[in-house]
Amino acid sequence: MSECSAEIPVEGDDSLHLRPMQLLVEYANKFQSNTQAERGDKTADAKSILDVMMLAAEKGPLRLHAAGADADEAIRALEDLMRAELRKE
Amino acid sequence: MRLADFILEESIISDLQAETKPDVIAELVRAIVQSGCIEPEAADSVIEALLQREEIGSTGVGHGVAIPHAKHTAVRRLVGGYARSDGGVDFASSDGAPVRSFFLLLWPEGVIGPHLEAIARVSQVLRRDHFLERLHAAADKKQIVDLFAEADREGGS
Repeated sequence: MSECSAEIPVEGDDSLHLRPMQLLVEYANKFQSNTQAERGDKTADAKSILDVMMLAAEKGPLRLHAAGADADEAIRALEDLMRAELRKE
Repeated sequence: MRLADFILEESIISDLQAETKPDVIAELVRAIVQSGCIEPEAADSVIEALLQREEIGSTGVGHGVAIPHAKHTAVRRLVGGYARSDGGVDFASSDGAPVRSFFLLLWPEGVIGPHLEAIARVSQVLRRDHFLERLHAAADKKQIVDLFAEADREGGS
């Protein structure tokens, strides 16, 4: 089992909108690893949209953690996705 | 932020009649018009803005919940509505499940943040044990209003 992390700035107006959150959850569910998303002082299960939506009102960068057989692959995919999505905001 | 800060009692529908996405949005916007938060002549434009947002991707988040939202000059502050459908509506949600709970959010142009706080608040409430089941089992509008009030009283973060 391996662990991997990434930190992604939320560019523009620092707003984490619903669409990127939905995509994060959709992609996280493609991997076996346990994945967490953190922002401010809140930690969410990245595979649960009701959890991830809690992060909407927080401030600062989005931190992702994965632990499991495909953690490296998961973080690479999620980081690429969120860097692209959060640049659009 | 409390649910009552943006979901007015007048904008709560316990027996949504609509069976399609455009009809759901129109029925909820009509309820918000009746609550006095939107002028009747702005309704069509508000509906259009909400449907345009749906074209980017469905706001159906799964678990039988959707959060249609848009910014619009017709509102002066964050306002919202809630509707419950007994039969569920195909909203092209990520999990493919029909949607029974709709939380609609509108906020003024040029203002950043309030709808994101509202989304965070909705998620906080829906993550409470059995809240969604109780919401969907509520007998009438009064029980829905009481459930929202109970969640607001108990707060949580």
